[in-house]
Amino acid sequence: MSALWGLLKKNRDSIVAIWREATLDTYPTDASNFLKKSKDPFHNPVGKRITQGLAEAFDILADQGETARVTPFLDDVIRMRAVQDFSPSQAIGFIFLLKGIIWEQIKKDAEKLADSPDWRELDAKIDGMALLGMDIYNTCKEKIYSMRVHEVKNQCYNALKKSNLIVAIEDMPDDQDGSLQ
Amino acid sequence: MSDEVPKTQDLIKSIIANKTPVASWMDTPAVIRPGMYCYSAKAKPLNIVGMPHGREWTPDADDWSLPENWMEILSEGLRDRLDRFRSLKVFMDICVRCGACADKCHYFIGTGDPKNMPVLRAELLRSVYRKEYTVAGKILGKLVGARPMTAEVLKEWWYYLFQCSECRRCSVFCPYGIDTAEITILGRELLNLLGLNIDWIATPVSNCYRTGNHLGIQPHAFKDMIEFFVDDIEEITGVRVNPSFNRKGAEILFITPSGDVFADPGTYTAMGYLILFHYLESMGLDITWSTYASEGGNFGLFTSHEMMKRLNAKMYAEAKRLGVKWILGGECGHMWRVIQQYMGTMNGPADFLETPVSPLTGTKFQNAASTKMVHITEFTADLIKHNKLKMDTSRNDNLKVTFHDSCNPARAMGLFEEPRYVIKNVCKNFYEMPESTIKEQTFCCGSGSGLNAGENLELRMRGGLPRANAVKYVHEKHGVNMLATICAIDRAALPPLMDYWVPGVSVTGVHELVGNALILPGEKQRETDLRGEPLPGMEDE
Repeated sequence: MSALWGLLKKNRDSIVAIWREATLDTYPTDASNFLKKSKDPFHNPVGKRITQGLAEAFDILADQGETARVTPFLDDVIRMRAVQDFSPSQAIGFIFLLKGIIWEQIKKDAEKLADSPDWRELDAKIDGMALLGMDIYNTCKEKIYSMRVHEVKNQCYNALKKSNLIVAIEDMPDDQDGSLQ
Repeated sequence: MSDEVPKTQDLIKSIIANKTPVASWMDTPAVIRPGMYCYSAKAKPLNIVGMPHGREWTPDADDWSLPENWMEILSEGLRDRLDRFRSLKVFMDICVRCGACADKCHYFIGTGDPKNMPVLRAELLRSVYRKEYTVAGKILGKLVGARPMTAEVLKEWWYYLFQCSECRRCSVFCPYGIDTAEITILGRELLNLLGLNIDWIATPVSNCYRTGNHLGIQPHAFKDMIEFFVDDIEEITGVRVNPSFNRKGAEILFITPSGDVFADPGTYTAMGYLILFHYLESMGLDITWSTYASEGGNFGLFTSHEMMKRLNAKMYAEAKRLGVKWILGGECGHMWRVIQQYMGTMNGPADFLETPVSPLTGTKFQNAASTKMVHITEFTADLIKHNKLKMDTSRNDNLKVTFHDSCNPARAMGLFEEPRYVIKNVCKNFYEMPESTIKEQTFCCGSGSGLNAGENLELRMRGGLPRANAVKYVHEKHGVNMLATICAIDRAALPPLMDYWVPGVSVTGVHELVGNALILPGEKQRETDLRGEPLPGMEDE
């Protein structure tokens, strides 16, 4: 393990704590105080998902794990932000915060690593997480829209069926060669 | 990375969505966002029931086409209600803003919007009350939390009073017992004086008034739908059940929300009722459905006290017309709040009815001595307790069930144990969600009080997060795949909520589970459940 990845692990707790704090700071002040303080995972699902999701995602990053492995943890966070008062860039922007936070936390020890190629790898991995975040955000939004369409389609179909205006295929008798009458 | 990397705080600034400014909440006008509000009420449904100022208007427009003297109407409306409702006067005066309720609202927890804290939502009204009715407020204004009514304030009222599902979870935690739901109810009543209802409430109210149910279904179509269920039950069980409608002289009248008759998965619950009633008929049950009292739900509760009373009146009127002895009520949420807390004094006393007695067990339901109306889970739990039902519970063995306490049966009538008793006797796999999310502390589905529309899906998903989060916990820990509930709005609202937050969990009414387990005399070997899905062990048949 090279020195950069070692520094990430060494400073893990402070980086994760600041990342969590900064992400929760994107909520209105009155709410973020509650989101930060309440430890009850059922009382404070937003705080819980962000606390757990970011820690898990960071650990995978620091272990140089496959970026795709962070998907469920980012999903926990972005699924909420996709339906909260955030624009798309705001909803996934918390991922980019990690770059600045890492630099601020390890820069004292990292001066001699300035030319290390590991920086580029770290950079690429965080960018990869952000790209994954875009996919997740889009999936969530598509889900919302498809649920809306599904609801409308169901209402129309049921109204037609109940008015005896249509006969469903499954209600049609089969003839001998299997085709519909 | 280098020193050129932006400072974290600079980045945060660029991704902050809705940071509350340092300025007071009063100086932060409401931003009306799509996905968070329901479409406005149209003129016609309001006109049909005689509600004032019906017109075409849209929430995101600057001009809401308010009547010229709207401030006067509102001021007079508030004065009138302060005189009539002692509770409103007390709730306006006694809040000390301790904050105990602040983080108890599912909308606040899910949205992070401070104006969804119950205390602040109530302050929206209280601030105007202070300005008009307190000496300190008149003199000191903002210093003591008072402000005058303006068009902006009115819009804020509308936006946030329709982001409260009247679930009353906050009231459980208030040391003074302030019921914020009542403040919302009266706030909406004031808005209705200006024609400012939402379509999802106003149209069902109007339909209910015209045809007896939310969807505007006419009596013959209501009967037709139940006949469809009769066909389906025959196909599944080989037994043809024979419900009766509007039958004079029956002992019991059955009233349930129309959602059970017209919307999946509530329809399977309706099939459960039909199977249960048929099973009990030969043992002495004498029950009839009504195509007139064809709606248990009452969206009048979300409109005004007068409208609630008008729509509720059909229950006793139909009971009297048919000459029944008592009323059995189906699985519904707010219907039971209206029955339990208002019906007796609004439209009673129903002294032409008798205190309900189960014809099967002889149990006298003293708890219903006033209303003369029994909840079907009380009725069925009593049957099970007296060993009156023969059941094959293995038909539910594929289900791992948890129970969502619907806000109104839980907090308005304390109905905790009966539905659980029924479920545990018809399913072997039952798991509770964490204690702080059930019974009197239950979290709302996020779509109650008329907010179950399609256009406000984002609000519903946010508001439902605390509930979904607890379901996810038992889904992951115990493999729970079925969420049982006793409310028609829940049965409509929870499937999309699960679809978004906890895929793999379906939603059922309690009597669907009963209908699956009950062994009808003369039935064939069942291969599917009431949904047409293979029963456990029948997957390859």
